[in-house]
Amino acid sequence: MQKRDPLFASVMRVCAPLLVWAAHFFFCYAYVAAGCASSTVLGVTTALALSACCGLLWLSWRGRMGKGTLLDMGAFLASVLSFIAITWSTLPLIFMSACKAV
Amino acid sequence: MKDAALNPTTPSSLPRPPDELARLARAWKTPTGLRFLTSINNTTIGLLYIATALLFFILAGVLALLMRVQLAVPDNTFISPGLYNQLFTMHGTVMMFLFAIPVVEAIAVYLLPGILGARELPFPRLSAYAFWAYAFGGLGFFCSIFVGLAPDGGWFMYPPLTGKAFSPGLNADFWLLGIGFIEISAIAGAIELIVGILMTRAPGMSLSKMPVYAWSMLVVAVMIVFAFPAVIAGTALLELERAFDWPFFIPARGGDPILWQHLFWFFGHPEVYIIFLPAAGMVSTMIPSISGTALVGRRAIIVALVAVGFFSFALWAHHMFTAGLGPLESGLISAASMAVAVPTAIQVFGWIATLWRGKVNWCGPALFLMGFLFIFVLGGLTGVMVAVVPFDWQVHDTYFIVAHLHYVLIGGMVFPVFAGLYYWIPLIKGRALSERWARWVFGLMFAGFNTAFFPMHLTGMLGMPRRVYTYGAEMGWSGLNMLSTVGAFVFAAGVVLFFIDLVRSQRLPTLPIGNPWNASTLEWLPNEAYATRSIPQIDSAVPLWDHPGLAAEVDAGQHWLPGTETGLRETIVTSAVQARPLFVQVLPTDSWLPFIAALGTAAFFLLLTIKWNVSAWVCGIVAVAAIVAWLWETDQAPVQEQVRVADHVILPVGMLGPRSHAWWGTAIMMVVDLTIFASFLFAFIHISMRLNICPPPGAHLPDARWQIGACALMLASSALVECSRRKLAAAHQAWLRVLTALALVLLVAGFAATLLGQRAAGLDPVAHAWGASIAALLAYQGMHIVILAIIAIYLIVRSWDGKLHGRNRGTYNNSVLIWHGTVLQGVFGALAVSLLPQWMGA
Repeated sequence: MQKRDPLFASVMRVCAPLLVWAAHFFFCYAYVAAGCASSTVLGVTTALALSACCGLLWLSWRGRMGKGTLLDMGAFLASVLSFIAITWSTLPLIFMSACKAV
Repeated sequence: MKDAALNPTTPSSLPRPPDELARLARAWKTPTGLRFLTSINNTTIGLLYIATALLFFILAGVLALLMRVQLAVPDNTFISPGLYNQLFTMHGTVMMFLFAIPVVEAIAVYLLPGILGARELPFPRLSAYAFWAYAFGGLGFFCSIFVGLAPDGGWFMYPPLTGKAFSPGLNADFWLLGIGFIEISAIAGAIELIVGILMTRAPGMSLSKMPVYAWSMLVVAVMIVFAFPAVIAGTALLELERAFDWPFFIPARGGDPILWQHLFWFFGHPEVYIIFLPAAGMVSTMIPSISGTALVGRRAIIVALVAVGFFSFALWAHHMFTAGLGPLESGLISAASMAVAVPTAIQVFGWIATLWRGKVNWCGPALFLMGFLFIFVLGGLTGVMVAVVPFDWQVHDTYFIVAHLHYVLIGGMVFPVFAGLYYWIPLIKGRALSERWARWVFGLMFAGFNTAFFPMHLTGMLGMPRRVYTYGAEMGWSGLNMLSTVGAFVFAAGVVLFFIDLVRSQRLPTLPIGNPWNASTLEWLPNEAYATRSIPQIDSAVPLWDHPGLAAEVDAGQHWLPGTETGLRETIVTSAVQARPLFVQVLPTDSWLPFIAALGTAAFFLLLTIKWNVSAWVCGIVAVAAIVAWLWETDQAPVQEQVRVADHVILPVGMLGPRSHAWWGTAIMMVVDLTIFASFLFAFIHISMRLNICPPPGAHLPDARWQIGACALMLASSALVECSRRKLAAAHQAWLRVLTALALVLLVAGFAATLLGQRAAGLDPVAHAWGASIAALLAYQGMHIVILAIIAIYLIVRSWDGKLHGRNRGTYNNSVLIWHGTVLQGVFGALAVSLLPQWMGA
């Protein structure tokens, strides 16, 4: 029986927004820890991460309207959670001096 | 092959052959007498594992009571300051490493095959090895306190306090070597759980129908794979510093104590969730049963588990707010610490909604679940408080933190585990614990816990630091401390009562197990040593509720694999997402080898700690010999090519390549290995970043020609074994042996070139932490070369013996995977060491 059983694709559908959050978080942390020089870089990264999250949210919203399976629901909810987490990470970037003096 | 999911009737028909059940029982018979120690069945090992973990819970609890006696009154002299240091270090270490993590893995080893409808987890000997190594190593480690050699630097072992200068004795080494290899046990368990959950579910149990508990254990096992390597690397670095004076954490020579904190907490914070998520999975399993209704928001809860798994990796530095991180780094970590509360809250609201919708049966498990909700939510709220950086600065290292962490860990893990014990103990002998006693046990534990730990919030706010062996009466903490001590003893009385009831009830004769909580999950199907008589076909997320006749059908042998076709232990391997039957896996039988290997491993590490080097190496060689002998028995040609698993379904026996369980196990092990390597690499980068000039004065980069030559040799060795795997394994065994030997020569030559290049550049691991961090990368690579040398010899001998032909190629495939991983590390390490300083210097 050789039917499709796409483990990687299924996992990635749910984990993609969470990976976007992880990439944004760890990039910002490492960039700041390394003594960053430009707040523009952080701003652009955050804008990209939020856009990616919105894109995934939109895609999963369409999916959710479909069959409503665990994967559809998972992709949708993970996008919402990642969007919230990235937004929260953005708050210190906005309200604190963007980059410390080295 | 026919798809049974489309078949409205059961997979196997009646009547069954008369000797089928007897053959099945014979294959899975649990040995008796002394040979019981050879048993590897998950139910036997699982119970021993749980019992050992509970023993450590009691032992570490006794240490806590001793501390509470000391703190009951001011200026007490009951315990000396030195012993007090050992007590709090051992209490934290034993509770975290020898109770909390092992007990959640132990419960999974015991329960998961039942919940998944499998006969057994895929690597039962690995489970047995992990358990025995943990039991021997843990007990040996605990005994260090009786001779005054217990670690005394706190359970997170911060250098420089734990460096050689301030901790010259063996105490710290016991922690580093004793705990170091117990972490390996946890990783072995994680590999077992991931492969078991993804490959051995009952046919039809797709990921969307998989029980929430299995989801939680899958998430936790993946977290272990990525979290534990950081602390393994950290312990290795600290032990290298202590043993060989490589100054990773000594600032005077370019080291940095903060490096330890990063490595420790990158493990240590996910670990809190590694402990909590299994408990959350148990709660999600028990609450529907005790409230008689399906879990509200089941899909959202599953996604929340996954999200918590991700977010928990961004919280490590909230243990380091006072360590001098920049304000923006702290802000990012603070935001993530609050973000993790969202998916956690999704679960809590799901549980409350389920209780609200259903009709709660106020039994023993229900009481502990209520206690869990109350205490854990309070701990979560104080968690949000300490996630706020300025507040954390005020209460850091005070008793407020002690209160917070006990609310989270006892609330989030001990209460659910006790609920779980009440809930699942009837699985052992059909004997539930007393409901009347349960009220007393719960009452004492709940009241005792809150009496002990709630006042600590106040003592902390009043400024009492943690880890002080006494305090003056003038501080004004006396009354609150006395209250905490009284509470601790009340809590302990509840625990004692529980164990008395446990012994009392389990000494009674066995009763039929049935389904006492009217649960929906498969562990309540009729069970023997072989698990269920036949493996059920699953069509629902709540199979026992939607299919009331399932137990009778399964017990009559009407479902999958109702006997043993090969006469050996077997389970069905199904596809990872849809759980379609793929093949039958023959499982290993009981053996002394895991027991001997574990004994040897534990003795090696413990004897090495006390510097009995010859005895240690003898034990180490015994362990390696036992493991090689154990491996030799694996990957045998199947006794049958195909077996009938249902009326109309015939499946192959065993599988090669990425569909085999062994390939997956090896691949996950390589992910762990590469993550350990990444942690060493992080140490190198961290130390480099602290330099004004990179490389530091007096140090030099190796000549690029040595590095390029080394990379070329290593890549060539990888190409040779790959070519050998693809082209030769089937037919040309002589060439396979020649190429494998040649590949080993190239690999050793590549490593030698790396070493010679570094030596020519004057690498000195003692003079400066920068050199030490490169030496650590080289040492890790060197360890792999030694392992691959053993593997290459093993492969050549196996080929000579005719055990690498045709269907036996799994051993070669998996060895090649390890080979590629080693070469990848070697090449990446050489590039990083050569290029990064140039980039940073620029």
